[in-house]
Amino acid sequence: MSVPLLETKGLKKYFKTKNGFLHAVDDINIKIDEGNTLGVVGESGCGKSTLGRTILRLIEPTEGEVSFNGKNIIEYNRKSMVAIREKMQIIFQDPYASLNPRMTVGEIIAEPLYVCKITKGKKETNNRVRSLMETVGLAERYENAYPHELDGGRRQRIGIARALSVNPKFIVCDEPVSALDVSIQAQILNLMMDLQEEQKLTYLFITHDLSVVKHISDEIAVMYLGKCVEKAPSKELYSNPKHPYTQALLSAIPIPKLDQGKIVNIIKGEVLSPINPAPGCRFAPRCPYINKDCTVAEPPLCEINENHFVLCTLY
Amino acid sequence: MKKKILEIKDLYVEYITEDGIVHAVNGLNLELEKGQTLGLVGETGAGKTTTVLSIMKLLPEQIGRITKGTILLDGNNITDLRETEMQKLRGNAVSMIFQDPMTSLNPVLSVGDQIAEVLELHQAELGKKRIDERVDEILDMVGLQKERKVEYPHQFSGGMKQRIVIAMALACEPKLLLADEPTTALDVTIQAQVLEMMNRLKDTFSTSMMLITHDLGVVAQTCDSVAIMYAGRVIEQGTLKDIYTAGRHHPYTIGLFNSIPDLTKDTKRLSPIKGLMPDPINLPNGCAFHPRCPECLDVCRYEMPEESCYGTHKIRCHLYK
Repeated sequence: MSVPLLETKGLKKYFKTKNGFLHAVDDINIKIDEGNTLGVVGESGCGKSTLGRTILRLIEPTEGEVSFNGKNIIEYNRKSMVAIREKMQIIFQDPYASLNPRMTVGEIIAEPLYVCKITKGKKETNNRVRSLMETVGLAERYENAYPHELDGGRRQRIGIARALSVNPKFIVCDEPVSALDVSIQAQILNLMMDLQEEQKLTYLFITHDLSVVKHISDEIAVMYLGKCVEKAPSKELYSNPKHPYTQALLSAIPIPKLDQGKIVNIIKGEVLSPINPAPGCRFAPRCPYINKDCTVAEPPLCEINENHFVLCTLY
Repeated sequence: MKKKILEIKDLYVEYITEDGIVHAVNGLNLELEKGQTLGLVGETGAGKTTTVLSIMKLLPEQIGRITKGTILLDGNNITDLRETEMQKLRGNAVSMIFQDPMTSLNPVLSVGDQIAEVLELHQAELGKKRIDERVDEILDMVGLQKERKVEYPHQFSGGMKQRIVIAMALACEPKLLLADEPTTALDVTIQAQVLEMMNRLKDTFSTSMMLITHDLGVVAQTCDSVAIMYAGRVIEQGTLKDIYTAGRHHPYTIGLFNSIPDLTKDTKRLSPIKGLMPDPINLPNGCAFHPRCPECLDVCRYEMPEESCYGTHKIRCHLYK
């Protein structure tokens, strides 16, 4: 088997707080093959954004490995890290906060080209910016506009163009469509799928919305309080969810149809604090199927079907 | 015929800004029967929040104003009410849940005091002791421990804060509750809890509710009737059945449904609506949706369509005449 484009081994990120260690990302092992998309799903505070940033070393991990093309990038020094970032990019969640308000659209997209010295001279840079704007569907007349003049959907297109400018292989997409209206959300998702096909991109797609990742992902990982509780190929996860948390998450999605009836399976309680978590399964306090093993030790990761992993004592 | 708690007729609201006049609501007609829940659906800038603010008479002073139309609340015209009279209605007759639970609570007042404030303002006759008891009852009702009433908003999670905001809105048992995207900021599992609770409380108090949302899934689970807004007008309205299962729809409604990823089907691509919402300063002539409409006719470009009625189902489109 070929080497996966991106792999993490035992990746951990603990933040030190006044009350102890906050386990934001706790022992995450993922693999993404080139050209594929891994969806990472979870509620706020489950560590999904921290995972995305730790993979790019925008946050330094506490422990573990991140391998890109088979090489552990955690050992890289600053200079080789800058070089590798050409291949690894990120699209941020909030298209309102992630663009410099004092730069024009053209300048924002050109910035990575200067930093990574990809284009030579002004003319080449300008041409590249124009062609990028065309790729993401931004009209040329916006080149000298400032971000505040544009709406959310167009701003997110700038974010995508900026990430694409350095010809990356791998992009962390951190909730790229959560801040957008549904009709615009669908436009951006289609655009991202087209770009993936054309440029053989690999995505780590972070979102809280299970209905969004279904379309774009090949594989989905469900996170809860820093742990990956279930990982399966997209189709398998939706047709055969095994972890009680995944089941609850899926049944909590309001479906825009009448015959679906009301929600039956509402889980009680809220997400606990990730600071110094108690031993055992982290979902145990909210789990409807809790048994005495759940609070003793962490359940082992079981492969119940091909490529379908669950972290639960039930299996 | 059932009594109507809310009737809006031909409402126009505009905001005066430096760039020009923003036409936020343009001839809106809405009706809500007692005890029912109406879902008001639309994208950012469709005029949903403006509509609710007009009912509460909370439009920003100087900038926003109602230029035409009437709002009847429980049969009384409230369009020209003075502020002192309106103040008596707020809380008791009509009350509002704001969009963002994180910013609609006062960070320097304890939660108990904030709920008590509502009662002190709108039901002062209760007396201090009774108000205290009432705060405990209300907290219990929304599923929070009454011991926590001395705590401050930052000590609660997002879902709990939204419960507190709902508790404040329901404190005086209003006849009409306006909920502006009450669950948009919450996680799905918490959203399910809050929606379930709102439905239960609505039945206990027999309150009528107007639920503003952009989520057609939430509407399917909580509402009795639906109105879909685009550029300040209701372009389609009817019962849940009319909107979700009937054969005819406004092209915008169809686009909206197609944009939502369907969990039960295996399609790889979504079919979104082309283009963007029109600028409310400079609305297109004719039907405001025509530049994005896949079935645009010549007449759409210059003439605003009238509403066509099919029983309870109303569509504002030239395709249906």
